[in-house]
Amino acid sequence: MATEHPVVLEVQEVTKRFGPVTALREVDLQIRAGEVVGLIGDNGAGKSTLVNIVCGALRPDEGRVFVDGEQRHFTDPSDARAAGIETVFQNLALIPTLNIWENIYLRREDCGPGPVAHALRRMNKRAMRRHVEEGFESLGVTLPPLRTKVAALSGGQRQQVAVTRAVLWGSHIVLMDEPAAALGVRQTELVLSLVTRLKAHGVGLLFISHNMQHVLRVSDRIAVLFLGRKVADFAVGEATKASELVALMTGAAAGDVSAAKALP
Amino acid sequence: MPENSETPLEQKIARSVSRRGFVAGAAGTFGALTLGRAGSAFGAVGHHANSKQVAFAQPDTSFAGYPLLLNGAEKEAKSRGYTLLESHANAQLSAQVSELNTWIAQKIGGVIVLPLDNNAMLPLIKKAHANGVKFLDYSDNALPGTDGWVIFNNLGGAKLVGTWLGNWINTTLSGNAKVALLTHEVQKTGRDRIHGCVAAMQKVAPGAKVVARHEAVLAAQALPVAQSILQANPDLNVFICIADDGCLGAEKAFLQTHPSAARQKQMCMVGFDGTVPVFDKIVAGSTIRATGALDLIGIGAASVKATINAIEGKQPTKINYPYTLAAQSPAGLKVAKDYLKRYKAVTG
Amino acid sequence: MTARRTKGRLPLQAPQILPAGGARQVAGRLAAYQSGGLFVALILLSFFFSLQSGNFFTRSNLLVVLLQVSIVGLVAIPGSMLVLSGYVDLSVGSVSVLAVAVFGDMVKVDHQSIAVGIVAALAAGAGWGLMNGFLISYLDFSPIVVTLGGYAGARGAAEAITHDVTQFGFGNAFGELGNGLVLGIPVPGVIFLVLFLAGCYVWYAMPVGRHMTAIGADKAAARALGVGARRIPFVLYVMSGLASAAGGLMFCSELDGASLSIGIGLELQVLTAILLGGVAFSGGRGSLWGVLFGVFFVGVLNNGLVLMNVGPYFANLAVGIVLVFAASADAFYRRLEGMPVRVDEIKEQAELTGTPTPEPGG
Repeated sequence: MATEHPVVLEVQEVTKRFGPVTALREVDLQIRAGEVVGLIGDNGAGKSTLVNIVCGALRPDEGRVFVDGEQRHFTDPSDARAAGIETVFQNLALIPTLNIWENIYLRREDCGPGPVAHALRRMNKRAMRRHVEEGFESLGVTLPPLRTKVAALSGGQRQQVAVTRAVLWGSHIVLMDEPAAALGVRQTELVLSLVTRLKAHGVGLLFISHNMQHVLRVSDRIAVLFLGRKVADFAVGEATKASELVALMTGAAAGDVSAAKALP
Repeated sequence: MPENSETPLEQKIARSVSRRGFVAGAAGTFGALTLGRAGSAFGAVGHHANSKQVAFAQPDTSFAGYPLLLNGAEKEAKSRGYTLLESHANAQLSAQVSELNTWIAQKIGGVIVLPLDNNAMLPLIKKAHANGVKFLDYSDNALPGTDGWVIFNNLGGAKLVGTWLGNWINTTLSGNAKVALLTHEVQKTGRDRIHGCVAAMQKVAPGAKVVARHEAVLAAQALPVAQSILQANPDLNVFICIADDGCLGAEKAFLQTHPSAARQKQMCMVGFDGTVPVFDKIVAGSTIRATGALDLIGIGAASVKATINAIEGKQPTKINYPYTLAAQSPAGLKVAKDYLKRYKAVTG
Repeated sequence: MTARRTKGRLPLQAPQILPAGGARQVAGRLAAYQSGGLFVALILLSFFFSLQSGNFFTRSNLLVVLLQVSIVGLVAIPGSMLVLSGYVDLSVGSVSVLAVAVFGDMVKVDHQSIAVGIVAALAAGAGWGLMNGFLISYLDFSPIVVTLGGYAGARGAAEAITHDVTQFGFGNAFGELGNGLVLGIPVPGVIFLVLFLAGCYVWYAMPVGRHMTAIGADKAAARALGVGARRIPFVLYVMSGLASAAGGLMFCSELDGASLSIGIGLELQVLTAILLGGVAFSGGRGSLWGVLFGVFFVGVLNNGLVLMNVGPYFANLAVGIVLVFAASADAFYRRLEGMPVRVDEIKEQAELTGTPTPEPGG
């Protein structure tokens, strides 16, 4: 059962204002290892703001962020990365003229082998390629050869690279902002099945999407934001219907904010 | 007019050639017009107040020889009882037009102008005459309706250098020589210098053959071109350079081939303009052996002289200024040393 | 990666990375070898000139070509890294003459030693590069506007310092910089080749080479990923200023004079070599070896045409034609590269549905 796994990421009473606008209002959220939490809400509900706070790009005005039970203060994205949080951005942040393994290792290149090569900052290309291959294998990801430039990959393949990058470095908390937007059917399949496999690795995933079918398919829990507040947070069951989710998102139905309740 | 179809870049390259070049619009706009030397002749009876002022509108004030020109111009003006106004246009066309307009409005005696653009001068000439101001042309005689001009006898200078060169070939190389030309064909001055020199040389030494020709004016351009020419013709004897600066580059290229003393005796470089470094090299006995020199101090004086003559209704108002030969011959060395003495006295 | 995070990795499964299809891989190979194509063109050109002139393929002429391309090549090393990063330096020629003016003034007017003059000249170049880098990389001013201003301003400063007077006569020791030989090879050539190898190390072997590519390809993404998108171009501009100053000093040593004709047209020659070599002007892709071939291509072309006694106008025309080829090749490769990859569909389907794939060979 997912509830037996440890909480890897928790935000408590997080509030964020932009001038007169309050984007987030005392939002609580928990993600456990091996759990996919789907975060849904209408435009302006505060989803991206929450993601930006968790990944270190924004600082909350109020509230606390805990990673593995320890409170953290992120001043910039590299702090969040150091804490084990990886983000798959909406625009992927891939460099099209670099190839797959170069993109995965960008800014975190391996130098070596040996102390001399390390001191001279000589990239250990063979080792990096090997590590990426092994990472793909263990995730069951099928991609063209590692030397392929990212520009030549399809949208779904690029998603896979971005997700794999996040997973290989993050290993226990991954935030995904609209990962299957503008993808075709087959490509979406690739991404969603990868997400499912990540759960088996014990990764805690926050999955943001507008697509109810995707959310229902991969999420263990769903949190709904409406105008900056969390209005619902429940485990996904057989009978959870998309129409009910939409009603919560648009405010047509009031939600039950208490934790971990399954809808009948 | 061939001279004025040059692009600004070509004009800049032609800086060291006697028709001075310009950097249109590039380095800063000092443009502010000043009146130069003040001088007022209030109270002169029956004349305009400023009629004892002459302007020397050579706007390329940053070129190395400018102080020499100015020196000659000032001396001449003073000796005839006039005040000299100098240009502050800093090679900017708009500034030149401004200052000319101002001088014309002040009804000075006369102005001699190195035009930055011939077409821009045409209305100014008319305006000058309407105000009783004499308008002369400097380094060019193509402007219509001017009261005189000072030009440089390029063909004459080319003949001087070419003849000396032919004699050197006859004496040193028994009349046979391989000759390379460093040219600047787009400009009339360049064509006159080179073609005239070659013609004069071959008249005296028919065995001199042109084996290479390539475009190069300044030292940094001439260096690589001369390097390649020397690779193609390792037994080359002569470089005829359109400007002295080119000789300096060619000489360095030649020295890079580590020539023996005997080989050096068989090499001769000649140029035009008459610059201090080349005079030094001629006197020092290097392979740069001759130059057709234009006496900048004399040209400055001649310019003012022609202008004042035009004002006073005297002659000459049209001067075709001659070149003088500085070379490694007894007379030529004397010329070189004399230039050095006079020039260094002005520029230090 | 593996050292830090060992948790969550499954034991190895059978490799499932598949070969890519046809055209795209060809394009990839071709693009990687555009520099190879230029190399072939260079060989053909050399062959052509050696037929036209018996003096082309001599040891002394080839060394002359090396000497002639050294300064352009030296400046093109940081120059091409800047273009790779999506920037450009148009001030290199004027900075080189400024450095020369400072040198001449220091030694001949202020009567300092040659060493002091050299240091001052290099400092002037680095200082101008620092200003370029600060305005462009940190204040986000346009690279073209700022360095074009430098193109005019630095030369103007040189003219102001020298009052248009050329200083001469710097002695034999300084003359070795431009005219000396090391094991029979001209000193500028040795300096260029050594620094070129260092440049290759930076470009191909060090992480910062990939970072430059990233900045040039997608600056926002690079910044989001923590790449030094401000620091790297800044350093490159300083390097470019230094290289310009060094190149100017080499030329000054060859001429034994701080001539104001130094550096005229240098920025065009450098940019031509860079673009010929296949570095895209918009940044993000390119080969430093291609730049080397580009430098030699233009040098061989100029040298050969003088040997053949053909006018300089033809050289300019030839370079223009080759540049158009380089530009169209770049567009062509980009189109080919963008074509989607066809992965083996059967295996992909099997993976999605979880059915075992048949072993090859039954």
